Amino acid sequence: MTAKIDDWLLEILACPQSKAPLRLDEEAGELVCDESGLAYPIRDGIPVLLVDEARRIN
Amino acid sequence: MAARSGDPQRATGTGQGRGAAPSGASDSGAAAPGLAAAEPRTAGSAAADFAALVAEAAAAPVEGWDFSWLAGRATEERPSWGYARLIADRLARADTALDLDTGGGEVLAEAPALPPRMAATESWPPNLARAAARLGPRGVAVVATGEGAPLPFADAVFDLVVSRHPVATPWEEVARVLRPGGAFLSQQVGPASVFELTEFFLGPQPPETRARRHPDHARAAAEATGLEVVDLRMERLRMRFHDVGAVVYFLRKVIWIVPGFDADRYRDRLRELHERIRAEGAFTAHSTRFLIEARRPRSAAPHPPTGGRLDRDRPQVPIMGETDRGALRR
Repeated sequence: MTAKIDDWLLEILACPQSKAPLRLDEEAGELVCDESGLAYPIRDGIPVLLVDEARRIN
Repeated sequence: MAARSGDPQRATGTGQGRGAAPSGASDSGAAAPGLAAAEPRTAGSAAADFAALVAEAAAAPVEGWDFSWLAGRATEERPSWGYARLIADRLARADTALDLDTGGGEVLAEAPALPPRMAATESWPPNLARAAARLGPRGVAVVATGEGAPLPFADAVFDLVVSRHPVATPWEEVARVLRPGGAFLSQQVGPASVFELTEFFLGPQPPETRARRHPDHARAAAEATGLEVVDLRMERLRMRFHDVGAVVYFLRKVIWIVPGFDADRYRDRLRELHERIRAEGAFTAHSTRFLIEARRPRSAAPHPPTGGRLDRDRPQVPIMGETDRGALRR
């Protein structure tokens, strides 16, 4: 699964928990916050920026 | 599952200024002839009439925010400021904008010109899909957020944030994401909206309930974050219900007007209402709406500084005291 996010959007998005910038993992189809250790899914092209829906990463 | 907006106008698909909800009324808010008038019934059929109107309305599907079922049976005046037109004008001049709680994207989609960078947030999944389908082709980035959660955007990125009937205004977050000089422009449900219906079924409401959602609360909350309130207007808008079925449908769909409304449970009151409408021609109520514009000053940082994080311990002033749509979603 790959995911695309417009560059301008990636620039202004932030982790709702840490407010740190997000990194796009195209392969995983996720937006990753390294600071809070959360990976947010992108479903049907929609970034799902809910802490409850995020996958915890190490 | 009923729909989610703080107000029926929100997601009718026709939107502001076109007399959408709840009735498909004209712009003037003038009463359209009700079905009862269009299909005269004999005087002797009052009881059967009542039963049929209630049964029909109790069985009608109430998902979504399409109020066309009420066409010709209820009307509502529109706020004079014309929210859709106001935001269209601002959006045409913005560079980076956000529509908070976009619903199905209906109102935003009415704007003929959108900023080059336009984002919209929504938390209710059925609306998200609609918003993405409607707004995606126009280049709008639709983002799923948690209701009441911090906004998933960096500091000072938007020159315009708009919102029609937000669940609750996250003032601290709005101030944080606005650029210096940026503006928040929002139409919100005001105090004691449609309380004639609420009180018809539930009796007199206490002063504190009537005072909920007062625009003064919004002003205080905005100013507490360092925003400057540059416009604040409120209007009472006449609603007219022309048959009891229209009331049943409306109360089933907009479930916070009479919480726990059920046509069987309130059958006696509904019969009284039916008789009253037959005698007077309509039941009149008033919705309240306010428009607020708040700007982030060009020079000063938002107050208090958030340090890039939401201060979760800060008391939040309840603007939309009942967080209407939230209640609907649960």
